Amino acid sequence: MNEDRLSELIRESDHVPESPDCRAAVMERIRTSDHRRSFAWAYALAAILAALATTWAFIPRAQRHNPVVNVVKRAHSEPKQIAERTPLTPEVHRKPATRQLPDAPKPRRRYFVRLSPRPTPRPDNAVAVAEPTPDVKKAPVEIIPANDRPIAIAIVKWPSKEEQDSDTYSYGYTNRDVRTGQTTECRVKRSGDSVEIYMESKPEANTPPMKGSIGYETKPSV
Amino acid sequence: MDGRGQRLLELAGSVGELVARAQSGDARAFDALVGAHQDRVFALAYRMMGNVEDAADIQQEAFVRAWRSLRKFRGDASFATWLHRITVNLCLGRKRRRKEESLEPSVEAELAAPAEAGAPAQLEILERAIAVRKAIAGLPAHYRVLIVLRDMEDRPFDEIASILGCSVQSARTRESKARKMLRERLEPYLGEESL
Repeated sequence: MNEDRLSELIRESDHVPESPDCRAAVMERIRTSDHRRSFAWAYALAAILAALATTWAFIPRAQRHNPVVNVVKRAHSEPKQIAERTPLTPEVHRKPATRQLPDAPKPRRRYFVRLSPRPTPRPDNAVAVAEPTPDVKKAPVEIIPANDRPIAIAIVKWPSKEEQDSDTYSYGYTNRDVRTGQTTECRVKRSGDSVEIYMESKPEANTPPMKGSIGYETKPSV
Repeated sequence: MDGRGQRLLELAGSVGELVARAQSGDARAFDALVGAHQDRVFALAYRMMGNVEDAADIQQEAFVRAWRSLRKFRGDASFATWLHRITVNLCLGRKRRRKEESLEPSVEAELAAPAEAGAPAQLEILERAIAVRKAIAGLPAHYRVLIVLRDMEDRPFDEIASILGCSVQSARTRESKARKMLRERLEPYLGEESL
């Protein structure tokens, strides 16, 4: 019952207005569509040309005539050509001739040891200065001041009795300090029971100025 | 097919002949086909869309698309069925875009126009018709199309299935569900009659 009533209500409510005649409009749209399709290639060509012109206009003038600038490097598109250009050759031809040289000697290392200057060799009975020995006080020493220059200590080591062949002995040496130029002269003389010690230090001897140097002066002649 | 279309077909020839000529590019043959089917296409579009403007727009669009796709038409179904399938697809697509399920004001105005000069009994019929139309418009589009094709246009299920691109059984099931939904919405009006 309800199904029939429902169908009746649906049919009752159905109302369709008069259909417009759309033939002219449809045929016009079809003609326009066909016209567009027939000239689609022309439209596409025009669009491409416009895009190219726009791109050309935006390219800087300096780059237009420099084809190098426009080269596009394709990193992975081409295989490596180096393997094609260089044919495979035997290893012997490619390897350069080499001489069999002996192993080069290892470079020697030089070690410089800065040693203190050796003391000048002297006989056992020579006079030594500032060399403390246990028998300092036992040695017969006489200090003689010379030209107001005090001498602190003088150590004298006499020859043994076996070495003595006469009563008179005389020893002496001259030491020159290369740094300060000071010259020290030392003489020891024993005669009988007396001992004479002579020590004198002199400053560096002033060498006469050379001719032409600043210190060289010539006395004006009167 | 209405009387105007029938006369055009008699003048131009059979539908199959016109379709063949149109497929070869004869615009005049297609013009005859448009004249023969435009009323039914418009009616279908109007029942689906609920307003004249959309219906007329879809009517034109359906014929234009038919012209563009005419070479793909192989004659498996009738030209009318193929054309109505295009129309239904256009309607469903437009409904999907708009997401609207209510009647357009223009429909109510069209329905109300004859009632101004009518009797109170006609006014009652009009109110009921508006309610039914609103209930149909409130259905989902894929259900509404079955009410339109089956109950309004009296198409057989095999043709409905061909138009919708589904099986006959599926068309029957969907039509049953659509009627059930519509029955629930029109319960007051069905009750009046049953009482």
